Parts: sequence; structure tokens; C-alpha cells
Amino acid sequence: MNQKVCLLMLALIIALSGLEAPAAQAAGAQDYMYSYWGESVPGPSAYVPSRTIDGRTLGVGPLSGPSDLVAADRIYILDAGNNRIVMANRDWSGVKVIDSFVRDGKPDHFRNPQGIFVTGQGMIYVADTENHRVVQLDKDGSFVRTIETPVSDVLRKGFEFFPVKVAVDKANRMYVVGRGVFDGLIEFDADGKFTKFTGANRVKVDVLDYFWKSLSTKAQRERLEQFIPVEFSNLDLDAEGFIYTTTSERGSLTPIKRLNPSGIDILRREGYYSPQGDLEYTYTSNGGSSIFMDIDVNEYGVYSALDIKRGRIFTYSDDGDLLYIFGKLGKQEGTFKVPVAIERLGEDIMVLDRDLNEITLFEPTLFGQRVNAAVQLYYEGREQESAQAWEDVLRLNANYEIAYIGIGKSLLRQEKNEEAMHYFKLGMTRSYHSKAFERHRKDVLRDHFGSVLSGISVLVLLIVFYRIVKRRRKARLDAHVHGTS
Amino acid sequence: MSMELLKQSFYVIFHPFNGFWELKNENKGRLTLALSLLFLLAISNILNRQLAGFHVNFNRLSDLNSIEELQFVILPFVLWCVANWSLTTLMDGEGKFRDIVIATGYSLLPFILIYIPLTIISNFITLKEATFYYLMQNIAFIWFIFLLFVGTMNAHQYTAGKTVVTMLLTLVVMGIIVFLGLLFFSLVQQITNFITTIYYELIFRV
Repeated sequence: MNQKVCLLMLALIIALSGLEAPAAQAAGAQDYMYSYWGESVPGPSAYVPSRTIDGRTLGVGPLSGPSDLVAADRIYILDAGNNRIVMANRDWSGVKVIDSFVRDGKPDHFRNPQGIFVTGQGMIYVADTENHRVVQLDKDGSFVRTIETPVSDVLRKGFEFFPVKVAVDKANRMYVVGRGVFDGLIEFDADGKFTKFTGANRVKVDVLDYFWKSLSTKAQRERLEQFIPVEFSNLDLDAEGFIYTTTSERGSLTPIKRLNPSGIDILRREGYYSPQGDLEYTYTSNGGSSIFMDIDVNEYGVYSALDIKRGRIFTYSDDGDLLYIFGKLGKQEGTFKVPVAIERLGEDIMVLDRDLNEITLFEPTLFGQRVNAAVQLYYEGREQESAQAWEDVLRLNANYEIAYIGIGKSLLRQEKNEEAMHYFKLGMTRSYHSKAFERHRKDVLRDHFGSVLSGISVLVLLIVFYRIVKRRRKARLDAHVHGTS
Repeated sequence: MSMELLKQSFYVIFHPFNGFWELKNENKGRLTLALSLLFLLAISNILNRQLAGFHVNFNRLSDLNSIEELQFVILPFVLWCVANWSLTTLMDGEGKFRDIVIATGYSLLPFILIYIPLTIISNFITLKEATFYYLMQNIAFIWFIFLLFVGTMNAHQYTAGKTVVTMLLTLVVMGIIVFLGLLFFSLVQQITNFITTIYYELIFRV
């Protein structure tokens, strides 16, 4: 009897697991997240690799050390080793190649270009690194102009212009990351004239270093390492024209910055931790914090940063909440060796690998889609619908803490303060919980104000009455005592 | 009797100079009461860690271990008393170990008096009003330090300056005791390790 039950159970389990297998595969096994407590916890994947694209699939011969990738009206791959730009439509058809352009009647070429940017009008800007210039081409690939080494008093002597990354805002101001430039982004006006450096990273000075430096002699001091700020590794522009930058500094708490026009960092850091990639890592020579090589911002403020150290992509909302983590280094399909560029293609994410000479395309899973939708709806002010999306997210991952905050915010808007408190507590946000609690407390006090007040007045009356009775009795007793004596 | 003891302890915290004098010289201090106050503080500390309102409670409640919480109350108390006794014996202090324990134990009363109501109130305050919570905690701490100062001064018949120096030195001695303790445990661990290794060597060979 018992055996039969066991067998039946076994059969059932096998049947059920068979049913579940494809779904589990579709969810792409597991990735991880960081909880409120800063611990890595397993969670469903938000993005899974769907296909890889290399030079052969595009029919242009192998890529060689590609350095940058842009998706605008079309997809542009900067094939640095072959000194060319490979263009394709957004569905990877209609491949075209720009390997030279005509300048002043003579053919001209790129030399090891490292950065590419395409404006809304289709103007192509290439950071032509070894030629010390930025080249502007129009959408057909014909030459427009070059921006050469800037001339200014603020530049130090012997300054060499090695542009590696470039971005252009709506007012046609150009921002360039230069190799070995520590003063910040190099900013040019619409005419290609140098205007200023913007948003320099601040120098970090150790108290201990400072102490040793003050003790050492001048000769020693010159041999010591200089205190210099860290240079930027990449930049991107968001829809509002703010500049997102990444810095490849070890152990930095602010490797990602959002610069306003005056170069001040205005990134919102309202999440549990400041956006910095991995929170748990070893301190060995191979370990260390995430090193961001590229960043991509989409139209509703969600940004993804690419960690070259462990090949992970960290995505944050505009508030600085960590949304999801995916990607890894490895030798299988869908993993990276030296990931150098990241770009969104609609909701898909492309990652360019310099060493494997290929692009890996990632597609959002159901989980990833719902997270994106929830963030987007909230960004657009549709809190109610956003809360619904967050509920879907929670159905897929009940440990997804920021979903509770999303639902709580919607409840707070509907004046369901007590329920909002419950959700805010699950989302571990004290500031919002306090807001909801304050309203709830006010409601309770208002509702019970009458009864509490009448209760107190009755109590006061009783005490007064008791006092009077007591005094009377005492007086009578005294009178009695006096009377008898 | 017990009512009297309670009254005495309250008298001590509100009139420390007279109070501690009576504890020592008129033999009104009770060791049991000092230790019960320590026990009560341990309890109120655990209650505070566990039950304080969400806005001021940053503990991970799922991982909170009441027994482990004792190390933040009992251990410092014992260390303080031992360190203080060791030091004052060398520095012509008149206090016996019993006097030190009583003086320290009675000084803990403000903590208990403030922590328990504060824990209840903290559940009804917003984040903005949390300043009040921290203020009360600081008041409890300053009150305690003041009582400890008066108690130590009285127990050993020191001047104010010498008391301050003694208290600071006591902290240093506490550190030394902790260091020696760790050293001792580490050594014992290595010895046991050594012996077990030899034991296993032997039984594998023989």
C-alpha cells in the first residue's frame, strides 16, 4: 500500500517537473539581486541572451577589436581594428560599411577609433583616437568636418589630444573623454571650439598619504605617486540632455555620475545603496569592486552600467534603485570575455565584446518586462498601473523589495495609509513608512478625539468628586472628634 | 523591606552625593539589588532592540539573538567592575569589590527608567520626531556617567580629578583584559588543536 502511494507520488513529481522544465529554461535559470541588507540573494533572470551577431552573420568579414556600439535610427558598430564603421538597420538587415571618406578631395581614413556617437539628425561623430581628432560625418557617410586638438590657455603644455569617447547634446555641444585627461570632460561648442573642462572627478586624498608626504623631502615627494583624479571611462546622454559618466576607479562609491550643465553630479541615490555595482566582493588582486566601462540610459531614466571585471550588467532606476543584474564572463554562448560597450535596442540590450569580436543580444524575460513596465509607468506618473505591474513582479519574485515600495506609493496616493505602511515596511523604507504613519496617526487621533476627550473629562470629574467627598468626610470626622472632646 | 530598597535606589539617582554616601557608610546598599538592576537592564535592552519602533530600529530582527545581546550589558559591567577594582587596589582606593559592584549597579537605574517607556513611545513617533528618541537616549547615558562618577568617587574616597583619571584608566584596563582574554583563548585553541592532531596521528598509525 505504502509503496504504491510512493510510486504514485514519484510519477506525479516526474510528470510535474517535466511540465515545468521548459518554463524554467525560458526564465533562464537564476541571477541574483542585492537585498536591503546588502546581501546577494538569488532571483529570476531579467534578461537572457537570445543571439550573438558577429562580422560573419553581418556578411562584412570578421570584426577586429570593435570598440564601440550605438543604436540610433540604425545600429553602428565601430570596428577599431579594421578602422571602419559597420552600419545595419535595427533588424540587422541592409548592412553598410564606411571605411574611408573624402576630405578636401583626398581619401582619408580612421586610425584606431575608440568612440562613436550618432545624433537625432543622424550625424555620426567618431573619436578618431590615433589621429588626434573627432570626425563628423553625415548620415550617408560623407565628410562634414573635423574637430582637432583644442587650443586654450587652460591646457597644460605638451597636451596630446587622444579622444576616446564622444557625445553630442541637442544644442550640438560636444563632450569628449580624452585619454590621460584628468580635468574632466572636454567640452566644445557647436562651432567645434574648446570651451571648458566639465565635471572633473575630485581628488581623493588619504590622511595617511598626506602625513607621509608632509614628512618626505622634495626629492622623495617627486618620486611618490602624484595625487591625480581618476579619468572618465565613458559617457552617455539622457533624454533631458544630462551627461551620465562612468569612472573606472577601484572601490569608488560613486563610479556613476549624472552631470548637469555646470558639471555638478546630480544622480539620485535614493536606493538602499549608492549605484556602484557589486556590493559583495573579495579584496584580493583579482577581486575588487565593479569597474564600469560603459553606460546606457534609456528614455525613462533607467540606466545600465557594464562591469568589465566580472562581465555583469547592473541596471538602476532613475531613483537609483537596483533593478536587476545579469551577464557573466565565460566561454559559453551568451557570456563575455572583454565586454566594452552596452546599448539598448528598444527593450533589448546589446553588449559588444572586444575580444570575441561579437555582439550578444539580450531579451527581457517576463520578469524583466514587468520590472521595466513598472518603472516606466511610475516615471510617466501612472502610479496605479505601475502598482499593478509591481504586483506581477512580486508574483514572479516575492523577495523583490522595491516592488513593495512601488505598491505602497500607489496606496499612499489613494489614502490607504495603513496598508501603505505595511507595504513600506516590507520594502524597508523608513522615510515613506514615516509619511504613511504620520497620516495614519492623524486619522486615528481625529476619529477618536471625541471619545478620548470625553473619557478624560469624565475622569477629571470623578477625581474632583472624590476629592470633595473625601474632604467633606474628613471635615465631618474632625467635627465629630472635636465635638466629643 | 523591598519598598524601602526601591525608595533608597531612587533616592540615590536623584541625590547621588548623599545617596552613595549612605550606600557605603550606612550599609544601605544591597548586592542583590545591584545585580537585579543589572538583570533588569539586560531585559530592557533586549526589549528595546527587539520592540523599538521601525523608524528607530535598525536591527535585523530575524537575526536578533537575545542571549547574544547580553554581551552588550553583562560583559561590559563585569569588565568594568574587575578593571576598576584591579586599578583602585593599586591606587589607594578605599572601595571593596562589593562597593564597586553596588555603585555601578545602582548607576544603571536611569537606563532602565528611560529605556522601557522610550521603547513604547518609539512605536508612536515619526521619523521627524526620532530626534526626541535619540535625545532621551543621550540623557540616559549622561545621567548614568554622572552617577558612575559620583559612585566611584564615593566608593574610593577620591578627589574629582583623580576619579576622572581612574575612570579613563579603567577603560584602558578593560581593553587590556579583553586583549589578554583573546590571547588566552587563542593559545588554548592552538594547544587543543596540537593535542588532537597528535591524538589522530597516533590512532591512524597504531
